[in-house]
Amino acid sequence: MLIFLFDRGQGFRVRKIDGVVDFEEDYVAELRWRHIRGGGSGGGGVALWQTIKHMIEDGCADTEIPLPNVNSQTLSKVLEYCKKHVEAAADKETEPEDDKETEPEDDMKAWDTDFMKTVADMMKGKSPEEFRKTFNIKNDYTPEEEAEVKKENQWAFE
Amino acid sequence: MEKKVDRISSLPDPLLENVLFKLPIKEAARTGILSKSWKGLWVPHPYISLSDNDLIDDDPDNWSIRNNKFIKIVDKLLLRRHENARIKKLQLSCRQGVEDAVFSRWYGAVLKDGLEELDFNFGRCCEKPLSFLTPCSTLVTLKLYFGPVSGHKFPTSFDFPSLKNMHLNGFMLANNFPEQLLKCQDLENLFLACFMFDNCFSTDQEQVELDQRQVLPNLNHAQIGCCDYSFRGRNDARLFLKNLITVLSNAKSFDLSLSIIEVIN
Repeated sequence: MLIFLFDRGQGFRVRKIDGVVDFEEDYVAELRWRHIRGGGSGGGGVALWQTIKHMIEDGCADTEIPLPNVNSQTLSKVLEYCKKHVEAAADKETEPEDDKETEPEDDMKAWDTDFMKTVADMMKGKSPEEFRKTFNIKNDYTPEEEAEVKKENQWAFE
Repeated sequence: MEKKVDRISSLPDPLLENVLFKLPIKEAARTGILSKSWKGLWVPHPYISLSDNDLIDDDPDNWSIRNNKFIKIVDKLLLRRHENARIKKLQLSCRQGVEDAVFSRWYGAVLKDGLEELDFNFGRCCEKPLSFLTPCSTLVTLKLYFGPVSGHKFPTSFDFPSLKNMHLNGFMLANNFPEQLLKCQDLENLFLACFMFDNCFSTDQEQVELDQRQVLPNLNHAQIGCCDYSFRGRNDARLFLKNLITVLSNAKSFDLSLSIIEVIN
């Protein structure tokens, strides 16, 4: 799979090069959450990838996909990611018998670990309120339900 | 202005779980009240670390209340989990001991393949906490501190082929302990403190001096703290210590208490 992203002045666009895009669920998931990091506070990582996926699935992205409101920081992460995966896939195709074929995967794993650590660090030491605020999580518990959940794990709040 | 979107909750659960597992379990457990979709995410957390110091005393004059609270929480964490949500690390610390029955259910719940670290620190003794120490092929670290005078009998047979770190404090060791130790060929660090020795474990068996070549090949650091006074003047104790030192003699650094040298001489 190869996706090409470019700037059209008003936000970025993505174009399929080889025509066949296999958005396997896990792959997209991985792509999406990697993006949160690239997105930082102003990026649109998750939304971006959901948009791309839907547009490709709906068949309205045969040539170009417009991507408004995406900053270059997010996009550079997308590109970095695509590049790594394309390289990994190419290595696999050319040297299927080589022992070294696991190396790109190890590289990916290292990146994943690094990413998860970054998010975990962002979570650390936050009260539930601060936590919700940082990540824009909507509390859908009723006050009674919340109190009940808290009571169940009272030890964690001591 | 950018719309406030909850991006993190839209991540797939397995990914969020992996992020939560990087937090201490106490912090992870707090995320259950964020929203409904977060409620059970932390539950399979494989690294459990809990001390009774983390808990608030409901009644400071009555230690048993806190102790019971501690036991209840650990029970919940260990026993109410899905079979596939294996525990990788269990670290418990409590000033008081717990009863045999409690230990047996904890050991039963965690000593399974997948467990990498078991670290118990209990200030007071319980009767026979180790009769349940079953073999575990994945265990890398075993740290047991049961207080200097607890005198628990360490199992006469144990099987932890992946073990790299062993810390034992306050144990009564059988005279076949050095031979058993040889089964842990990957052992890198051994720390023995406040140990006692009892020959009664294998009276029917003749204790033999181990061959000098029977050593742990990968041992990095060994530390043998002072032993019990009752060692003095006993031939069986001398042979036990000699065998122990033989097994550990390949260590890159070796701290030996003076009291042991006195016994051997």
